[in-house]
Amino acid sequence: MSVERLDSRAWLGWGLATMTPLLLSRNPWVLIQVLVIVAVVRAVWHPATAGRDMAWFLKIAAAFVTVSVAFNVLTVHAGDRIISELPVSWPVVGGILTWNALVYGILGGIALFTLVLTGITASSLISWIDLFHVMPRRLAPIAVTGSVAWAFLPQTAIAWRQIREAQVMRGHRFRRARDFIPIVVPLLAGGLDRSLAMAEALESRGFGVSPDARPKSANRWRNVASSSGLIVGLVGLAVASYCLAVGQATWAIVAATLGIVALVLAARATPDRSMARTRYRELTWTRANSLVSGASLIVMAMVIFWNSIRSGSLAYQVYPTMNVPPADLPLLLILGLLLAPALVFRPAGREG
Amino acid sequence: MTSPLATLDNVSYRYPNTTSDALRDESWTLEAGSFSLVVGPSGSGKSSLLRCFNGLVPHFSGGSFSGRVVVDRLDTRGVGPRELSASVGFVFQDPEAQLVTDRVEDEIAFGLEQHGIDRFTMRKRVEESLDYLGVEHLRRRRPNELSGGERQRVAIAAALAMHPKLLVLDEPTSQLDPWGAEDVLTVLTRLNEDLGLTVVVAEHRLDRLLSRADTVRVMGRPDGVALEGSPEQIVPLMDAVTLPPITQLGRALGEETPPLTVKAARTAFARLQIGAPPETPHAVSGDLVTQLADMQVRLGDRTVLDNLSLELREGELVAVMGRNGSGKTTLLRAIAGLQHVDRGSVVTTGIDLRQGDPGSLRGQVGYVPQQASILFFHERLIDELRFTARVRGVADDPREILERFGLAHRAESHPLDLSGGERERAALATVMMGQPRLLLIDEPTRGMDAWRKAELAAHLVELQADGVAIVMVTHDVELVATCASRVVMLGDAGIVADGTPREVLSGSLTYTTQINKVFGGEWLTVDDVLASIGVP
Repeated sequence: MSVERLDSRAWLGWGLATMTPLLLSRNPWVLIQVLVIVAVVRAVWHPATAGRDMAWFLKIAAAFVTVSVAFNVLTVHAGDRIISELPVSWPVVGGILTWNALVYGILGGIALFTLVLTGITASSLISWIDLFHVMPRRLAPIAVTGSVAWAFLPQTAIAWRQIREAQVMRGHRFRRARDFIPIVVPLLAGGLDRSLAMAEALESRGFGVSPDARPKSANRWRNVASSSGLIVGLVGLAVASYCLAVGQATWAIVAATLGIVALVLAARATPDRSMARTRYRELTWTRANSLVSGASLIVMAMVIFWNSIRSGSLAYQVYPTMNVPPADLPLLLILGLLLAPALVFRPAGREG
Repeated sequence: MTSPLATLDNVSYRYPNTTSDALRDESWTLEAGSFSLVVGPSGSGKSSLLRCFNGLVPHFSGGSFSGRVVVDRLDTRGVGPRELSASVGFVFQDPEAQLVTDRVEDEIAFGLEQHGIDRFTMRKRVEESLDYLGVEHLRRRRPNELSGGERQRVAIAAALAMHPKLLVLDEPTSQLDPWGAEDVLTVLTRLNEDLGLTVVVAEHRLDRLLSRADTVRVMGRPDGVALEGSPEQIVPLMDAVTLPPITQLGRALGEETPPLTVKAARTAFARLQIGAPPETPHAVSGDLVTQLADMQVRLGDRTVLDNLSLELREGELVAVMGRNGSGKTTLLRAIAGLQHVDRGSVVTTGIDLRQGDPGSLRGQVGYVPQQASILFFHERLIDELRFTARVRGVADDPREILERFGLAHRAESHPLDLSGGERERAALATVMMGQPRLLLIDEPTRGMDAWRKAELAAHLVELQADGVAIVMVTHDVELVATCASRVVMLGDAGIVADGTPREVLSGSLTYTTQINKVFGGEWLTVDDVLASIGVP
């Protein structure tokens, strides 16, 4: 059942399932387990970059934890284990500084870093084009636009570094917010240039072409109907909001219903420009995808269920008193299912 | 090659919010199956002309348009670029800005999907295009992992999959190294000769293209009238500086039909009596500016530079050459203190960059990046120079520097409104305002026309004469032969050759000039040959 490539939907599900405990829990056992799982999955699926990434990720983790700890210790003046005290007259930061706040800051930093690591790992393994291929056809143009925007992010990061270095060599020093103008202005100008070049390329390659053979006059009437429906729908929703604000609940429901009906009709009347658009690659769903998706689904459902019936296992409280965090073995075993992508991986070229 | 595939009939075009025409009364007929080359200085309207063929002008760019363009019997006034994409493939200058998906085969299928081609046909066309362009092995790769040449071939494969009648390429090799450029041009020749595809290319680098074209169209002439004809007809009428060196030489020697290829040049110049090539001054004895000793730089798992030792002195103009990925830019960054060095020492202008603060180099080193425009953030060019003067504590008059670089009349202009060549000079002026002892330039001639290149070479020689040490990363062999005092060739994570251009470029299989390919020995430039036979 091992594979060298997983479906993007499976990765998306894994990403969401991994993020769920990170959003709901501050229990150190849970956080550390999820962090280790994400690191293992990343190392298995990105073996070439694992070593190179390590130093960078450690720096990022240290930055997240430092900021989180500093913020927490200086702004939360609660807890039973006091480190020191700042004059109460100092705004915001004045008061006792506690170990409780420091520990909670560390946990917050770990959770935030693991969320980012999960996002980076999942997004690097997701093929956005594949994902967009399973979206409704009417959303295809939005999907491609999103894909292009996604491709811009690394280019923008590279451009930022190049501009910063060029300005530093010119003699510029970055000390205040104003000092970033020499980076931001060329970055925006360059981004605009690249956007125009990309838009030209998309036009030249037929993006958004209307291949249906319907006469243009028919589409014209559909456009009019669609625009009218959109206007009526938006006015309806605005009226509903007003009615709700002045306490006319009945009229609000009537206006909202009319507005929603008009919007639905507008959407149906919109000419489907992608009607004849086809897809090159048929996405195949393998048992490995089912396994990873099933495991992700179980984790997500069980974590939410656990949170409602045994929230103590997930939510670790350090205030007002700090105790040893509870380790809920069944929960930790369930979280272990997030390792599924690492277990089904097979390096390219190996039979099996 | 008898029936016209596309015609431009008295086309005039002006971009929005501009006061002059980009195209004026242009008429041109493209024969089916022809290979046409469009040449001319930057800003002469080449790109605008090409964009008329697929309707980007005026449908995308706006502005005022008159005249008529008919391509494959479709009038572009009524049909836009999206619809024309089935008939006209368009490949842009920047390989990065035209690929939209995250997998090569999806990239090739992109246009087919947009046009609703059925899956069976799509698969067939994608396979054909992959094979024809020789990129089958890249099919599952991400476009951002490919080299520039590979990306351009993927872009051409994507255009080819549409089975276009006309393939238009706007400076497709300007961002590529010599090997990438050769790959792309070889593919174009095959498409034209084997498949009969009509090809139109706009380019500045003519050494590989002129001999392949059936028709050459010269734009941006002083009288505003474009010239058109076969290469043999057009070459005598072109500005000499734009011609490939062997063609320049043929024309200077009064050849009736100057050679267009190295092979033809060998025959044409076989009986030329030449003496010995001129001597090149060898060592420069200025003060030491940079000293690298046993330097090692690693990027991730890869050792990019290893055991590299190098000394640079004032008054040297050093060209750093080598294939893509050989560490040229990394070397430049290490000298500037921008690159972490894993082992060895880097001392620039007396500062040990592994011990001290690289920030203290600021007053000593000037850096002109590949994209010169990233330096600019003011609304007037003169303010850019004033900014450099302020941050470096220099009291010079910026107008004097602008005068020196021929930009005094543009002092009040927005830097981003300058033409390509002016922008490069403006960046140089902006950096030189800081009076650096060491000037680092990264591929300054990418996409630059022949006139601007000649101007740049003259400015660099002038700065060198003033005692500035210059390190220039470049692939441009002809430029190096013209102005460099020393060549450092990188390969296998280190320096594989270091010497004068004559020592390093002579007899090289890959990095040498057209003149050297014809005459061998230490002959490098047209001026070398002309001087030896006494032609001024």
